[in-house]
Amino acid sequence: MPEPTLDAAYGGALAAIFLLLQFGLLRSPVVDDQVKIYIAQSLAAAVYTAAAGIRVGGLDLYVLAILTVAFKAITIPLLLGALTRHLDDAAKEVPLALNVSLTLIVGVILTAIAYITTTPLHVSGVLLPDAALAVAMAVSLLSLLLIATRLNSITQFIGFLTLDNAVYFGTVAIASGLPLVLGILIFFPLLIAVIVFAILVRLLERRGATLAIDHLTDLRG
Amino acid sequence: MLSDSLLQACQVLTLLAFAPLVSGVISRLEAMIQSRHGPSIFQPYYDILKYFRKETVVPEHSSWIFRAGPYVSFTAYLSVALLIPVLTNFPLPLGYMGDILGGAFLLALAGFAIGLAALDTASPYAGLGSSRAASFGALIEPTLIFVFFTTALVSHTDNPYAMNATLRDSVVQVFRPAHLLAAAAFFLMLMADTGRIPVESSSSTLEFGMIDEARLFEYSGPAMALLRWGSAMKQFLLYVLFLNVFFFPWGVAGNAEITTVLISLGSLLLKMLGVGLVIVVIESAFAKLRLFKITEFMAAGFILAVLAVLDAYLGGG
Amino acid sequence: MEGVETLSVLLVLVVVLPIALTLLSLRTESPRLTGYAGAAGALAVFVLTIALAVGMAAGSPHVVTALGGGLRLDALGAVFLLTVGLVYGLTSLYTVGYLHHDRNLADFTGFNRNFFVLLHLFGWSMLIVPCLNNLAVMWTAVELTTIFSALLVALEGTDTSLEAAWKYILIASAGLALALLGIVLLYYAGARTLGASYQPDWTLLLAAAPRLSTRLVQLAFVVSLIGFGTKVGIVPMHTWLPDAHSEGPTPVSAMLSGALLVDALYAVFRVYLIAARTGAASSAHALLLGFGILTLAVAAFFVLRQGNYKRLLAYSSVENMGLLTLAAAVGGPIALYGMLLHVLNHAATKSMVFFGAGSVLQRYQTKQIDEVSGVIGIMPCTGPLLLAAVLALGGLPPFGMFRSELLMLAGGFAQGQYIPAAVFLVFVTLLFLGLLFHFTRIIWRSAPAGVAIGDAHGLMLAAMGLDLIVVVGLGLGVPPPLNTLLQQAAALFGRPS
Repeated sequence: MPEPTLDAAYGGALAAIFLLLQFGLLRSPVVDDQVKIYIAQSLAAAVYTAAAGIRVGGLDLYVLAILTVAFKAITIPLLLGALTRHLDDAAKEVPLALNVSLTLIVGVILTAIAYITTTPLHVSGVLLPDAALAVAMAVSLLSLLLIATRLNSITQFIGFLTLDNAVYFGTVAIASGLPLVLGILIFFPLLIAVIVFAILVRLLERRGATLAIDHLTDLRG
Repeated sequence: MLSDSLLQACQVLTLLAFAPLVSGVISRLEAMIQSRHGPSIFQPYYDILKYFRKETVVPEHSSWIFRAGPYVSFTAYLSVALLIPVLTNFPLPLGYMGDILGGAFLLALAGFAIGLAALDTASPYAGLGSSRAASFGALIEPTLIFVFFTTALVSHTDNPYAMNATLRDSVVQVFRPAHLLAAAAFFLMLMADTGRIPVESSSSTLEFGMIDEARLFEYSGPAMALLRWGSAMKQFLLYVLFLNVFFFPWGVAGNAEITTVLISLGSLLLKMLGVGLVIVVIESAFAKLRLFKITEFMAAGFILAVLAVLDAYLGGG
Repeated sequence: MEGVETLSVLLVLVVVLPIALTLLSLRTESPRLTGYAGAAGALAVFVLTIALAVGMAAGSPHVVTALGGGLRLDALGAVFLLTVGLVYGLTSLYTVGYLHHDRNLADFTGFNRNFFVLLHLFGWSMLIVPCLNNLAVMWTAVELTTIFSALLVALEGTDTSLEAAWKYILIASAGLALALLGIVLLYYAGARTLGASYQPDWTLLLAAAPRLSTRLVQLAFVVSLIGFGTKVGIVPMHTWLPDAHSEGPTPVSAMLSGALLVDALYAVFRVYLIAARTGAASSAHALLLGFGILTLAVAAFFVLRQGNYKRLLAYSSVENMGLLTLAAAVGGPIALYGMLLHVLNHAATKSMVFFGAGSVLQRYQTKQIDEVSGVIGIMPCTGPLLLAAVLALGGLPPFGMFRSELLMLAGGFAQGQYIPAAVFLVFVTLLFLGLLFHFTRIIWRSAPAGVAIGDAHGLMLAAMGLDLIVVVGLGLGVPPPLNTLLQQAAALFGRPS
């Protein structure tokens, strides 16, 4: 194994933290913890963007890093917090379709699949000469796993937000010359968050303080 | 200039002499953090001497396995000291007897012997401890194997001395993500194997949570002394592995001069103090996990280890 | 050339007019004015799209550009633009009549205004998708369609519609996030040839296609197909579709089923056209084939066992999307021509059926098939129109869908793809059976007690009538300009341009 450059060591450490936070999300049983993990993950993405900015040069990435912190690490969690305030403690528990240990093992398998399929493509990203696409794909698959196996609306929405984080991370790594796309990836989850907030708050007011999906079973078949 | 065989003997003697000290210091640190006075740092020595003077009582239905257990495990621990870089970073004569997997096998042999002996007593508590230790051991081993794979992939060899050398060559190697993940995984397994919170409570003997402690229930006298000494030695060895092979490979003697060896000993003890401090802080900050939640803890370690391998093998990390 | 310049102006008008209608709806106080002006404006947009289509077909295959290349319409885009224009125009007309039913509700003015504002915004976002060359901006347009349509689905505010809107926006946005990853991958593949910082224009990527790395394009196509396919309603990403299409207000269902699904399919085709010029062509083809067959099978199963007639129509939309995907995979000039014609036919027919279903819903106040019967007696005008629509949807001559389905089938045989053709035949038959079985129970037999005789609002009938004209017209014969346009569009799938 050739010795990595210092750049690759930084980038790899950030990518590892990013991926591990996603695993933390998979094992977290309560909505409040999940929001905190999401904040941490957004901050990791922002740090990576800034580091990439140092490497690539130009102002774009610095501005994007600041925007990431402002919107993903502050504004969206505030929205989520406002939503969870409507819930009582029992509703903050996340009903599981698959228990934690099994979910984690499936997660590891999905990560392995992501690595194995993307490494032969030799996609090299900023600060991440080998694993850029692998980390983005792995976190995407893990967020889809979260949406599929957790039966609480807010958790599923956090899954969508982490999917967006993953695509953002991947785009910074391999397509940093597309500031338009990066900007979209910051604003679009915010827009969706506002709409989802509006929809879910109306639902909450009508149904009482629970957002567990096992109550949203009227539509089937 | 010390001869290599003498150095090797010194490694074993270091293990014998200082393992209980490390235990004692950790207990004292824990007490200090909890605002108690705590036992003297030499208390484990006094305990071992006390046990040597006591009489031996053996359960009625036990066989030679029960009597042999402590000796097998003690010898195994001593043998591991021959294989890993305790004082020197160049391989010593008997160091080629086994690589890191060999060391892992010896540690497992020790655990196996004690576990078998515990079953031999037909005592329910000992059997309980034995079965729990065996099942958690089954979860720890794959993680450890993956951790060893990672470091082997990074340094192209299985020999702990060579791993130490690779890491010492450049700081970047220590901070590469695969290595950090592997170190984190090993640290989690370290907590599990040495019986620390959040896996097992080392300061009490509640049957609900005992894993390793329970296996020693039926022993008394010199056998108990060997077992207590042995578990302190196991802790010492695991710390040495963690420090000199994974995390902080500096400060180990590069030549056979007496001064460098003594400095190496001093730095080893200091590094152990550091690890002990971290462990103690974790012990005081967290609560013990429910027995069934321990599998989640093990799964977390497993994930870190698998990610480390993936990163090293495929991710160029 | 003056002809091309006129077309550019028309294109800009098509894009600007719905925004103007939105602003008008925001400012006016009178619901009647909002409604009539909105319907008239939307129909005008439809006429503009017809004019564009005719104009483009007139000369040699050419491309209309406007706003300095920001907007770009080629033959394929023109077909989809025409489809969206048709559904948008007729649905706006229908909506005026549909909302008339609720005119006595509290805060009707506000509800009416919100409905039309969102309707125009939704229509606008769908109209611009076929006109954009830059893939990232096109993606943004598709995302906007999700946002506006989700708000429309949630507009009536019932529990089930809120649940449906939530599910829709979650699944569709997750899919679109993946689709964006696919576009980024395509960009990266192109970066090795086109430089580190370039605009991801479709034309640029198409030209560079032979030089793109096969494996990268394969991955990009898979991810884009799964991502955009979520919005098309391809199985297994379709789970949001039956809920959203059945729980939203009927005009919204018509626009969703008739126009939005194919708009998303257009996005899939854009990526497919790039992939087809690289070494990834065979795997892309196989993927489309596989997903098409899977979609057909699952949808046919659900069509047969349904209790809610709007959900039934939603599953029929899924089935038709499967047909389109399958036909695109089969390829060849005949099947592709049939597929593009089917896009138009399905839009007209499905919107017509939904219009009828909406009228029935307003009169009977229930979506359950078991509780509705005797429409032919209760609603003397809607009844026969609904019957015609259902027969058209099933693929009976002389209606349009018969022609397009026959062409797709013939194309399959012409390409030697016998198994897909056989699958096609089986599932189209099953769909026909399912539709007829359920809808004959609705249309005939005696009416339940308590339902007053009477018909839908005149404008609703007018919308259905106009749809009928389109459907029968396309069934009897394809007008020459449209014929040329379809051929030009089909040709884009084939030879490198």
